[in-house]
Amino acid sequence: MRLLIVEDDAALGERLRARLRQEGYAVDLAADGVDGAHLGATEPYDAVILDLGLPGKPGLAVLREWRAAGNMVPVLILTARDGWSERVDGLQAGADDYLGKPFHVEELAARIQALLRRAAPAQAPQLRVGHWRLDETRQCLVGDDGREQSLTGTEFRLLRYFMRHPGELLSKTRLSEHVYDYDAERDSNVIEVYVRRLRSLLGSERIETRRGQGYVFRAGR
Amino acid sequence: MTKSLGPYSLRNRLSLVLSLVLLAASALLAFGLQDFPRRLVEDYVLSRLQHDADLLYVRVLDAADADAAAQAAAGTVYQLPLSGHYFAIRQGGRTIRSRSLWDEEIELAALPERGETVGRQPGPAGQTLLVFTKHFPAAGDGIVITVAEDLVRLDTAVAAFGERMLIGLALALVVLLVVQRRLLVRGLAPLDEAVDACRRLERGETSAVEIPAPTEVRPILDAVNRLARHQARRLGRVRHTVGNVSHALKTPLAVLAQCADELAAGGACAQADAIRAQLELMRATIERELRRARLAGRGPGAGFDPRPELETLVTALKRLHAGREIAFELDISRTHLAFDREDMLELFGNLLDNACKWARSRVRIGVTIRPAGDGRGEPGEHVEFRVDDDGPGVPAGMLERLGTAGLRGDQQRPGHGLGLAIVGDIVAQYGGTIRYARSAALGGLSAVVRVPLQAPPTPA
Repeated sequence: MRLLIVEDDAALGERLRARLRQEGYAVDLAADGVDGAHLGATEPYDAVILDLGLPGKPGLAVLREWRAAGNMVPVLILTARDGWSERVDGLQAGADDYLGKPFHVEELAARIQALLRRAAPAQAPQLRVGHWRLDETRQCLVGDDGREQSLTGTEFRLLRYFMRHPGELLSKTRLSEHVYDYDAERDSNVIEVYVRRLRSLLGSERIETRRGQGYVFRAGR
Repeated sequence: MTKSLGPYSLRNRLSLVLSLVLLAASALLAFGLQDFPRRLVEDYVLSRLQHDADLLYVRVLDAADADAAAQAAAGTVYQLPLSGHYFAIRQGGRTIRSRSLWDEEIELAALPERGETVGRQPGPAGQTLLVFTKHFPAAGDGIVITVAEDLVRLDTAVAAFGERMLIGLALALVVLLVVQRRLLVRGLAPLDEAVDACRRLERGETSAVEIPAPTEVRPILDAVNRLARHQARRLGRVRHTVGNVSHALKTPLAVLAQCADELAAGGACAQADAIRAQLELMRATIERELRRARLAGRGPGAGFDPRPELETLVTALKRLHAGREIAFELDISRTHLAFDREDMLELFGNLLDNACKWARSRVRIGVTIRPAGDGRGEPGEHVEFRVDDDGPGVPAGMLERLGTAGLRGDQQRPGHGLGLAIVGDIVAQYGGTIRYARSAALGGLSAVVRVPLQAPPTPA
């Protein structure tokens, strides 16, 4: 899952990025409205955290621009201006959630997770495959017998994306776009390596290869 | 303006003064109408009598037969019996009377030694005579000539004329009084319109007074408009500044909170907790004080249309609580309230957000007008906002403490326990009351806010 943070306060932005990376997201950071609007319009993000008081272009204008262009990416507004009339304005402009500053990072993480879940094809609060359950907070697989299987950061991100989009044809490019952030070295061949690793964990029938097209994840038991 | 004058009506006062002036003028006119024609007639008759007296004197003075000369000199009217025209000439103890006198004698007042006298006196056959007597100096004792004319017919005519004039005058007075009242009412109507327009502005139905007004009233309305604009601009400025301050303070607070999290992650839990506690304190203070500073209260330009605004708010809340199926029921029987929109959104936003947090599936919103004396002794007509949910409710012991700053119903759920404290501040700003109870309809918490529709009188 790939997130965009549009936040003009450098200290807060960097800390948030670090924290959300820990949570297992690929995270990009834009420091002003113009960059943010451009990134949000061109990169396939799964969710956006948007400040309202942005230099260059106000957050609400950025949001309206995206929505007018048909970009329905889930947006959480994170702002110090959290009066109810401003909240209503933000939600009317197309935001999906609203959080006032200062905030508890746990709450932000929980809300991002809820947003992603609501936006994804698979909306179950618990992600399951076979006798495994994906623990999103601890970023590991938990078996029905209580056995735990740890995952690397990329494995977790890739598996979560698969599990949120079961039965969908996912190209390697799309997978790498949602698993890596903008600055990362992207090599879609690496995806193959991770897919192989996931197959060995879950069973090869779980991830089907469509030659020249990509992969389809099968979640059913 | 003296202070003892108290409240008075410009219209009644002008009306009273004008009526008094009209009455005085009429009284003067009526008096004049009684006196003037009579005097006019008497003067006219008198001048004729003087003329006749002079004529008689000239004829009698040198005549050998004074009697014959006098009778010849006087016209026919002096010969017809009781014609109303009489004379009597006294010369050296002899008296010549006009034939018209027949056998009657004109009672003569004390004769003047010289000069003239004029007077009224009763005459023969019920006549009233105007009597002119003149003493002409001549040989011997001189000649005294008295000429008289009957005034009864003229008096009757004058009286009839006066009566008609009085009736006309009374009618005219009545008409004038009615007309002046009408003119005043109509002339001062722009003032009433201006008052109505200002009331509409006060109730927030318009943002400026825009009615055609005469040049005397226009400056007042312009001043009112300037004040309203000034007030709106100042409120906007305050809100903008508060927003900026809030933004400038809260982002660093968010960074500090993150630092505390990192400290905790690094193992320094005690320090992190100390920092977090202080941060929470600062956050709560900033939040509450800044929100309080943003409150507008009632005032010109304030206006809140509950139905569309609450529908928008409900849509927003549905987005915020997406993923949970909450049915909102709106029961709104009021179209316009003279309350500030942002204040009301803040009030309902916090109440509804709280209700949504706890509700299982239903939230009910009511906006109703209650007449004076209804409910718990609120003095005037007031509006009742009611938010009910079907959540677990609040234990009776805690109901009283709801809305106390910093009290969180549930530490596990997100929120800072500030929402209801802010609601309390808003209600206090509007001079209303808030009461929390178990919802009779839905079983959860019920919040009932009552706010008087009219602003309570401001203490001088």
